[in-house]
Amino acid sequence: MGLLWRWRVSRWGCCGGGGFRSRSSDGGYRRCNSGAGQRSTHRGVCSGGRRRYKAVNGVLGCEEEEEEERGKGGCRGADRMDFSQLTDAMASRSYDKVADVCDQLMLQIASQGVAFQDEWPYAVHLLGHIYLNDLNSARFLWKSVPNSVKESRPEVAAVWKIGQQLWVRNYAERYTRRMLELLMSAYSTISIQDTALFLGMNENDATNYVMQQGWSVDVASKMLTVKKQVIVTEQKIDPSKLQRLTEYVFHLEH
Amino acid sequence: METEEEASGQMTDEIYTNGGEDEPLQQQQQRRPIISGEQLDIEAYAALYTGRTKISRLIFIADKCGNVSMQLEALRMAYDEIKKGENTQLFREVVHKIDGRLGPNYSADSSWMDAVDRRADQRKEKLENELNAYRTNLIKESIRMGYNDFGDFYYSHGALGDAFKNYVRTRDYCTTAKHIIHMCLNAILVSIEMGQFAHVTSYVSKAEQNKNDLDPITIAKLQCAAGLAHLEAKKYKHAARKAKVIDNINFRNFLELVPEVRELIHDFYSSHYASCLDYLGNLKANLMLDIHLHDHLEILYTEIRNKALIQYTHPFVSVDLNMMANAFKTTVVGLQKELEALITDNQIQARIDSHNKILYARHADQRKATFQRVLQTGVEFDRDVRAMLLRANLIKHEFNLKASRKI
Amino acid sequence: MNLNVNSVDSLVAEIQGLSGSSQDVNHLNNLLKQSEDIIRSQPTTFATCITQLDPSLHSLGYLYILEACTAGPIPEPQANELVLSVVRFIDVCSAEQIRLVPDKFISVCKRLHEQVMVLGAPIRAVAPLLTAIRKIQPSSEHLTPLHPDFLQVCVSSKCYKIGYSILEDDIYEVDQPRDFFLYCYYGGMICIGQKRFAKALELFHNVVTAPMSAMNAIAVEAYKKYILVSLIHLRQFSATFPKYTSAVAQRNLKNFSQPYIELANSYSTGNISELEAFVLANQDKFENGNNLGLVKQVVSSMYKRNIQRLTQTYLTLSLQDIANTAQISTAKEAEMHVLEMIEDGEIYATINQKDGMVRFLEDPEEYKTCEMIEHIDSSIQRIMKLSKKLTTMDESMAMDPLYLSKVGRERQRFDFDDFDGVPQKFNL
Repeated sequence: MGLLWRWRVSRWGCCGGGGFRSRSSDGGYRRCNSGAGQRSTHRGVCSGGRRRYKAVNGVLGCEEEEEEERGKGGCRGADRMDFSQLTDAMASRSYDKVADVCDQLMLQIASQGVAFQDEWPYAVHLLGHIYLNDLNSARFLWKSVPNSVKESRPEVAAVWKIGQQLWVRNYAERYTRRMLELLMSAYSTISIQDTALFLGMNENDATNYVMQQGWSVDVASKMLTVKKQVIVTEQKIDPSKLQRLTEYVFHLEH
Repeated sequence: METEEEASGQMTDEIYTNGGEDEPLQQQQQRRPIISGEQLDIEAYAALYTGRTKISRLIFIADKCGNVSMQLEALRMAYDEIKKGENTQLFREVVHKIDGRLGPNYSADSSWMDAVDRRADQRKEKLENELNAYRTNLIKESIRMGYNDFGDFYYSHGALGDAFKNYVRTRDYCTTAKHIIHMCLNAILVSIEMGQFAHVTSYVSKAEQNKNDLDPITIAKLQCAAGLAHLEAKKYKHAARKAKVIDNINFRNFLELVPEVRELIHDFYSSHYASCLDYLGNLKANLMLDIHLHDHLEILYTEIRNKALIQYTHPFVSVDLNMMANAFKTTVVGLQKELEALITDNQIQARIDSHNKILYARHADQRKATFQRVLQTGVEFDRDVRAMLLRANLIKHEFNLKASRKI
Repeated sequence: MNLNVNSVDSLVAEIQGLSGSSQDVNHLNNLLKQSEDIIRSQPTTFATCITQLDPSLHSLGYLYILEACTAGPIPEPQANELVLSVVRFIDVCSAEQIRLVPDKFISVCKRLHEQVMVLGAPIRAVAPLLTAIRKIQPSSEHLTPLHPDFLQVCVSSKCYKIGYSILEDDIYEVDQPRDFFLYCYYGGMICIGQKRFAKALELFHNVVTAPMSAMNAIAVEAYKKYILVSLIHLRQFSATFPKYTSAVAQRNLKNFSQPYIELANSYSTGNISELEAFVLANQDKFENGNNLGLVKQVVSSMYKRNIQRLTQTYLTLSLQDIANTAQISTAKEAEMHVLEMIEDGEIYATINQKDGMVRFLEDPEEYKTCEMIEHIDSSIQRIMKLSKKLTTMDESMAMDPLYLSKVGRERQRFDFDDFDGVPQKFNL
């Protein structure tokens, strides 16, 4: 169990105390669906997850404070930093845009010689990358946070450390869904204990959740049998493409 | 002085006794099997050979067998054999190896050595005088024989380098194809003993250029020599083909002499691998004492085993590893390791189902493979052309720079 | 027209008056060229009157003055101000005008790079240098002297993502080999950060095989990184150079990279403990080369190499056997490695925890989907374009009198055998 936990931490970063050694993966999720139709299911799951993290170490309070702090920071910096794009993106729940908006804004403000670091919303910026599963960029951003900021604003470090938990809380459905996709592609059978660890739930919740996905459970051995996902995508092609391919072949043969 | 025929006859015997393949059949069959699983009977083994090869083989066995009584026996016979000849150098070596362990009868017999050396000096002087006389008279044939005699002389005294030089020198005075073949055979014999297998190969091909004048025995000899040369060069495939006397009647008769080898080959071709490998395993200890095979035996054994493994799997879509392990007298785990190596080396196209202990043949999906290759080629072409355009641009830049400097 | 402008005011007036039509601007450029000495001799005077100019309208004149002002040593207190004004200028200047004097623009940008480094704030130059590249570039196929500067500040400020965005342009036109070398070197480092190892290999390979007549430090460093990335990404390294590699590189690179070559040799044995011992023994050398991080990635890629080899051989294999064969200490750890490789799409497999077995599968891609057809189609389009480019270049070279005279003189030595074997069929 310790090993699996460490693996999840190092690769997915989902742990309170762990250092960050993750790497991004390009290939893993191309076939990932948003899973919008299952929102209600995930809600239940995500509250389960939150309860769990509260139980682990009462960091949630800390995280909420940081959110307020960031709010204030934004106001303080408003005279020199224009966060309107960022707040727009947040308000419209376009979380996928957050990273880009922050990146651009940061470079622009930096070029104007503004000492932005003290007031920069690092937490949101980090989360923006994490949301896109761009753990690489998140890592480099964390590395670029000046030590003085890490010291003077302990909440930034705290956010970094619990960032993934925050993310699990806020975006649990996305994370859970993705982990589930991985388990479905990588395992044919897996123990209930490991499944719960991977999904960040207790064993009951995890079992219920995967059974809704069609998995079956063998109570005696505490093993789950994975139901493979069949992905059907509509296959429709522009006839002109086929025409062009035909022409290539014709050309090559004559 | 010996005549030409006698000389060549003697040489024929020298090589021919290495294999002993065309002795009268009855005589052969009376003999006990020489190469067998039992401990080597040195006396019987040595009886197969005469002259220098007998001595070298005995000394080789003494060096490698690791068994004191066998070692002394071999040395004793070597000592006796040497005393029949004139090689005092070799004599000293063997005496040193015996180191007094065989009693006073097998000590450094200095009076014999002195006598031999004295006789050798006289003979050498005589040969020198004769040769000088021939040279002044410019009689080609006599000069050739003179050099040949010198070769024989040096050969019998163990001065192989000088023997080789003299044999080769006869080349300029050869007038018939037969002479050339004779010269080649002499050169080959000496080269084999010196371990100069590059010379062996080149003289074999020289001899083979005179196709019309080769009799079957000489052809077999040349092929054996070439086979040995290939063996030394680790070109086992050629060695096997050259030494492919299997189709030769004489060889088949010879095989009767060593039934275990015959059985082994038979088993290999009829896929009784376990018994084939059994025979091989039994023979191994004694084959290790063969002067030519010694250095190559491990590799040959592995290759034979691999060949058998590949042949075994070839016709099947799936193979039960338990049965296969039985057939090869090994454990499933051991077999899996062997198969793993062969698959990695692309010698077997299959994959192992380690869970169910089954080997499945792998059938290449042509369509998929083609797509993969096409896309891969596309990626490489893309990358290489871009790199090429860049390099061309850099060359152009440098070139223009030089040109503008000149202007 | 009074060509002998000698007063500051009248020059400023000329700038203001002649910044309209392109004809005017060309004329202004001539005037400014003649007045360069004057501008250079009184930079402070001009610095004060620069406020009378609008950098977006009077870009050419502004650039002349800015360049003169930044030419000399800059006292530190003024560095910040200077950076600000250069950044603002880059932002708003007219691309059309500055391209008349690209050298001046480039030298101003290089000063910017230098000054942000002095200020210890490389991030301040990231966005401006990118803008500057886009403004000075005749097309995205051209390498500018600012590419290396931009990539370097990206590396220094850890802005890898934006740095990578510029590496997606296909570069064909190169002016200065040195710019190209640095572009490939820093670009390779950015690709390593972004885990785009294939692209990193391509860039380092370009440096190693570039035509060169003398050894240079960039090539040596690129070669070291090439070895490491090759091991991480391809899990092997071939020490033979392509035939077009310069003689000087073929002769010297290996001697300068001895520990790296030995590392590759040790890697090829597949023995982890041996590799680890070697790394430990040579830690100083790798650390001095700033490559220790990459070397560590090489070591951990060895596990994957060993597992990947098993997929070629086995259909099913127990986790314990995987651990034993790949020299991983426990079955559970082996499971994590396998999981990671499945996630990254490096292998196709399913883990059966119940039996402690892994089943290795074939690549499920059937090459039947629309996406695949489109992918193939776009690849063909791209390759055809490249092919055409190559033909065009070949033709233009065949007609280049300088080249022809050279070929005539030394046909033996300079035969461009690079161009052998280009499939003509791709030219539809």
